[in-house]
Parts: sequence; C-alpha cells; structure tokens
Amino acid sequence: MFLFLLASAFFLFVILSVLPYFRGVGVWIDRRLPIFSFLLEHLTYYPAPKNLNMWYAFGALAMVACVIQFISGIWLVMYYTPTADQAFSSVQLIMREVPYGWLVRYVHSTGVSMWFIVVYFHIFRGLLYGSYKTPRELLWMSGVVLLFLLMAEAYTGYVLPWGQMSFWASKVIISLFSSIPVVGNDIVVWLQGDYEVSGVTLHRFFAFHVVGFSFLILAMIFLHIIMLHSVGSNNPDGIDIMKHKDRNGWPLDAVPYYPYFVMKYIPIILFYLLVFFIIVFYAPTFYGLFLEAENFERANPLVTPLHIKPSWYLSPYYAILRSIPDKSLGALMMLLSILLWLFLPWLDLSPVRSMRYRGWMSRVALATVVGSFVLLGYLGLQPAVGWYLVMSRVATVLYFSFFVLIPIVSYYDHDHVVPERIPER
Amino acid sequence: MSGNPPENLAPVDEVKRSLLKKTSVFLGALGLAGIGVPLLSYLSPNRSTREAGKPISVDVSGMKVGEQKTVLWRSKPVWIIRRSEAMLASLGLVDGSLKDPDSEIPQQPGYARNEMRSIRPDFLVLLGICTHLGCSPTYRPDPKSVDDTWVGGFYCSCHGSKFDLAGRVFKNMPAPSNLEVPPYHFSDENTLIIGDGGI
Amino acid sequence: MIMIMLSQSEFRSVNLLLFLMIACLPVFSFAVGDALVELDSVKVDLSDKQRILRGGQHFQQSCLSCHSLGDFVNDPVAKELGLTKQQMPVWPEDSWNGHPPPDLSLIALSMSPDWLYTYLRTYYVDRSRPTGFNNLVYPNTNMPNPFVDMQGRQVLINPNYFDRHAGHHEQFWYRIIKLKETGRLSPADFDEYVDDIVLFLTYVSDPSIHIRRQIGPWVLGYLLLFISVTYAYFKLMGRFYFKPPPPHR
Repeated sequence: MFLFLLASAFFLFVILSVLPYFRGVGVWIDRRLPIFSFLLEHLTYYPAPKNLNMWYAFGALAMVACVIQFISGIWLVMYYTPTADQAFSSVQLIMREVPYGWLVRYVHSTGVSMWFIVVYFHIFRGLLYGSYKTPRELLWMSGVVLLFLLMAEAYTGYVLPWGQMSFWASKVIISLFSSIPVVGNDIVVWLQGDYEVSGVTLHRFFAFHVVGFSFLILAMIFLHIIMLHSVGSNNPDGIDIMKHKDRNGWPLDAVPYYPYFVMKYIPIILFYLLVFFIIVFYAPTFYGLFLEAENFERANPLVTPLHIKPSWYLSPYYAILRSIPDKSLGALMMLLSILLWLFLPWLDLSPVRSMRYRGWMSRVALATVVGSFVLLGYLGLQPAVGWYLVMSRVATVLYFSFFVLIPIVSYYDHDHVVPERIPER
Repeated sequence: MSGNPPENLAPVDEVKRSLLKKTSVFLGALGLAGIGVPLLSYLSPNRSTREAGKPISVDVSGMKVGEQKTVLWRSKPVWIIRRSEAMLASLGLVDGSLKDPDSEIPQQPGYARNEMRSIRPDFLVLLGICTHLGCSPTYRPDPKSVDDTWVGGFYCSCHGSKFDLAGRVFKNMPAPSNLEVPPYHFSDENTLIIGDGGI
Repeated sequence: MIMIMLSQSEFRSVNLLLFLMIACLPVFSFAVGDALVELDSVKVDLSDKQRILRGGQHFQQSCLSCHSLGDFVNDPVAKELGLTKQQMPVWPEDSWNGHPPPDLSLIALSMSPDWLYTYLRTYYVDRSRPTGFNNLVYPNTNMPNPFVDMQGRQVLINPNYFDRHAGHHEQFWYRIIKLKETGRLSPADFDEYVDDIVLFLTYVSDPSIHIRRQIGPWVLGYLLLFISVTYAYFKLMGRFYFKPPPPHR
C-alpha cells in the first residue's frame, strides 16, 4: 500500500517534471483552443491588490470545498438508493461495506459544514471591506443568490439519508409553503408529489440535489468569478487600484495573482484540509453538530423527535422563523433575512468601502448584525422556550434593525479619509 | 512592499529553493496518489458483493448420466455435466479439428488441464459463457444435432461458435479460446465446491 | 500553527477570526430525551479489541434474543463472534403492541454511550408497569428489564419520590433507587458487564473507527509536512514575486 502510494506519487512527479518540455504541444493547442491563455489571463496575470490578506483566502477555500463536495458526491451516488425503504440502509452499506465508503461519506457530510463555515467567513469579509459597494453590486448579488442555492442544495442533501431528522426537517420546511395564501396547501402537495412527505418527495429531492441545484451552483460560481474578474478584486483598504497604472496599463498597487498569492494561499488551503481531516478522522459527527444523533434513526412518520433542530448552518434563519408568533409572517421574515442582503449595496450610503476607514457607527452596525446572526445560530439549536425565546426575539429585532439603521448610520458616520494609494505597512 | 525590482533583493539560496520546490511537487503528487487510493478502491466489489461471490457447494449425487445442471456463481452460469463413457470417447475423435486440443491457453486451473479438462472424468465443470462475446452457448449432446459431423458439444447460437464436450473450441470459429473452467474441487464424493480449487 | 503562518500586518484580522471561531464553537448538546437523572459518563476505549469481543458475547447472551444488528452482519468482528443474520430476530411491525424491539446497529450514535450505560443500569421495580419494571433514564420504557438475574432488583428509596419531586432532574440516580436483592453479579461486575455491551454497541455503530485511527495520523502528518514545505517556499520566494507581468503578455 505504502509502496504503491510512493510509486504512483513518483510517477506523477516525473510527469509533472517533464511537462515543461512539452511547451510546443501547449502552444499548438492554445492556437486552436485558448485554454492556456485563459488560465494565464485569469489565474496568473490577474492583477490582485498587493495587500490582500488571509480573509481573501476564503474565496479560494469555497472553491476547494465545492470541488470536494462534487467528487465525494459523485462517488456516493454510486451506491446511494433514493427510495424510502432503501435510502437509510444504502447509507449504511456505504459506511460499512464499501471500501473507503466511510471516508467518502464523512468527507461529504463534513464538507457541507466546512463549506458553510468558509462561505460565512467569505461573506463577512465582504461586509468588513465593503466588497458589495460600487462597482461590485452584481458580484455581491450573485453571491447572495449563491448562498441561497447553497442552502437549497444543503437542505435537499440533508433529506437524502432518510433518518428521523431528514424526514421531519423536510416536513417542517415544506410546510412553510402552506403559509402562502389561498394556494398554500395545494403547493405543499405539489412539492411533495404525495399527500405526505414520502419516497416520492425523497426521489425528487435527490434529483434536485444531484443534478438540479448542484449545476446551478456551478454555473453561478462561474458567473461570480467572471464578474469578479471584470471589476477586479476589492482589498482590505477598499482603495480602487485601477486609478493608478503604469505605462503598460498595469495597476501600480497590484501583484500578479500567480505566483505570489497562489503560493500564499496554498499553505492556507492545506491548513483548511488539516482541520477538515481532523474532523473526518477523529470527530466525524462533531458532537452532533455535523451529523445529528437523531438522524441515525430511520425515518418514522409516526414518531416526531423530541426537539426538531435544523442543521447548524440553517439555524439562524430557523430561529427567526420561530421567534415570530405568526406562521406567515415568520416564513416571510425568514425569507427576507436573506433577501434583504440583495439591497445592501444601495442601503449603504457611505462613500468609503473598508471598515478600516469607517467611523464607529458603521462598525457597531456591522458588529450588531454579525453578533445577532451568531446568537440566532446558537438559539436556533435550543428549544424555543423561556429565555431562549425572549433572546431570539431580541436577536431577530437586532438583526433586522441593521437594514433600517445602515442607511442612516452610513450617511451620518464620521468616516476617515481614504488614501489614494495602498499604504505601506 | 511595492514593485521593488528584484536586483535590490538579497540573493536567494538556489539549492534550498530547488529542494523546497521539488519536495513540494513530490508531496503534491503524493497527495494526488493518496486521494486516488480511496476513490479507486471504492469502485471495487464491496463486502456484501464479495460475500455473495464466495464459493458455493453443489450436491451432484442425484445427477443422471448425460444430465446438465446450471448453477449461478458470482452471477455467472456454471454448468455441471455428468458425461457418459460415449461422450468421453467422442473427445478423442475430434482432436484434429480443434484449435487448442491440449488446452495450452490458460483457460483452466492447472488441475483441469488434461484431456478431459476436469478433475473427475465424468464431471465436467465449465463457465457457461462463450469466449467470443459473452453469450451463453447451448448444450447439444446428441450427435448430428447441429450438423452432420457433430459428435456432441456446445453450440453458441449468437455467432455460431462450436465446442466439444470438454468445452474445447473447434478451428475457424469466432470464439478465440476454449470455454473457461472455474476453480472447483470435490469436498466429498457427491459435493462439488465451485469457486475454490481446494488445497 | 496559525501564528507561524502570519505576517505582522495580519494579526489584527486573524485575532478577530480566532475570536469568531471560538464564538462559533459547538454548543455541546446531546439528545438526552426526558431522562429524570443526569447520565453517568462511560469511558469508551475502542482500541481494546478483546473487550469489544467480550461485549459482543454478552450481547449474544443478553440482547440478541430480541434485538437484531442488521447492518453489522458482514463485519469481521461479527464473523469472529459467529453472529449471523439467521440468529437475529425479525419482528412484524405490529408485534409488541406496535413497538417491536428496534435494530441496534446505530443505537450508540442515535442515543449516546452514556445514555445506554445509564439506561441499562437504572431499572427499578414498579408494579404499575406491565413488565414490572420502570426506568429512570427512559421512563415508561417498553423494554423488560433484561438483567434481573444478574443485577438483582432495584427499588425506589422513597416510594413516594415521584409524588413529591415531579419534574425534578436528579444529579445522581443512586439517590433515587437502591439495590434491594443482589443478583448473580456483584454491582462492580455488573457495571463492567454493561460497560462491555456499551463498548460493543459503540463499535457496532461505526466500525470505521479502527481504520480511521490507523490512517488519521498519516494523513495529518502528511498535511503538516506539506504545509511546512510550501510555507517555507513561500517565505523564501514570496518577496521576489511583486514584479508586474511582462508588458507583451
């Protein structure tokens, strides 16, 4: 085994080492299919602001997470059976009988949580440095759509193991549609394809998870990167680097993405993988947060689990839903809690992008929305009783107050003067 | 930090650089190979499949002379044929018109590489899959039942390949080699174990 | 590790990052159900293979007559124990008044080892139950006490306890019940007997644990090495890479 690994690694090493000698072949292909010049343009000579910091690694990490999910997902589908009586046991077949099935499955189940962690940090970076502000409004909006798609993908995937939580979570989320006036109940039946969540529902969720949302996500990521590369990266100082260019049109404050940033981010990506595999090998259920205990029990339409909890990455929205004592309004607010972010580029009136040059009011506003989001995430996993309920109502109000306050705050805040060029540090 | 021209920088230790670079590339290749191991192993038969592919035992006590019995082993048809003296005698007659009369192509375990292609002359055990394109030939023991020179054997109706009663292919047939003999042994007089060649 | 990877200017943001990571750290919550008592914690040492096998033998003695381990039958340990599909009971849906004994392949994951360990040891005599026993961890359980002959009979110390302490969550179960008649095993031996079964069930719920621990250090060691090499290369060469691309690109 070890020898085989070494041998194949050596083989790959030799191939990689002799590749430069086949430059002519590359040129020949590139004349006909400009794939290498495309990579050169977008990976090598992409002008990246020289002060990009660790926060900017999360975009690359999100891509890594995406690739991990796609590969492990393809492998899982080889054994997974999307029927009500087979789904649960086919997952156990993968876990116990398929060679390295446990690894592929744990990578996929850990991967989704890690993807969300990375994406949430990526979004936070956008807020911190004002990456949503002009000219990156569409880039930001595509990101919000991506988050939405990712949630849909995660939710449909969560249903597939057909455990107790899968079943009841899908029931709860689908019931949300019954709050639509007049046609709500018909829509629920239409979505389920049955009068109750059943194997039919499972099968269509499977279709959406494996082919539907996943390919929409790929397409959206592609657009996201196209948009990023046409307007250029923002940076921690929020300074427009395109204003000052040298004779050849190269921004003076930019560095080619390769090799500097690629090499800077490779150890970070590896560190991400290190954390990833510590979880996979030593705490794959992550204390019931990544794989819930209740979901190791086969779906049973007759018995509801004591506490229905969403996955941790959806719990903030769930907490908002529960904190509002009206079904339709709760569902609406849950939807708004994501959709409102679409309008952030126009709600923020400050001419300054980065928090580094923003006044205290903007900082407080950001801390409020992030803090209440984290708090909601915690509360969404707790039972909605007593102080938990009171706190989740407070957190909901704080969360939405951000969207009301930010136009006022950003208009009156005492921002600092933003330098013309990226300062030396 | 801005665009300093490289000549202003202290020279770099080229040995160290080359070493680090080569190690990085090698470790990257090792990582790719490491990812390959689980992903490729995943594709091989899983534990239940291997469990289902274990040797099977067949009771052959009730078989009449000339009878064919077909059993499934690893989802493939395996024939057990109890050959009569006349059938065994017919094997010698056709040697000249066979492609591989002495079973030189390793289509059988060593212990079945003999004139009868079997451990016991009376019991023939064959994988019932034509070596041409995988059809299952039919058992035609009666002489002259396929053509005038037919002495009994197997006939593949898909593409017309002919085999004698030891599963040996005739000359100028689409099938390239004799029918395969699976590993087997007799655990006692009447019990045949298919899938395991014994000791 | 993180600290090594940082240049000075990045400390500020990374401190914030670390703070947020800590803030997001898991809220340790287990599905305790509506247990009346705090769970005992049990040390599950999955590296002790002999003990797992012993637990498997106990399981065959005490549990297999009612409970199956359907997903486990092809496991090497099941082979070693001689556990086969044929030995395992199959219950119709409507047997046991609609509550047939569940398959236990995943019980240690869907409940917890602590839960199992405490549950199996907190049966007490209760004449009002059809089985004659009730349980502190899983009140009104349908499962008859499987260990009467080994453990003996436990009874409520104060027969009126539940009238007086409705809804009270007791920290130590042995403040509520006590052993009245000793069984075949001494209390310490009985605890170990149950412990073995819990260990076995924990292994059964995820047999990948052994191979995970075998491969884990290699993968993590490899990643650490790769991180240090690529980081060293970046440190060595990074300062040379601030040059703009050639103009003729």
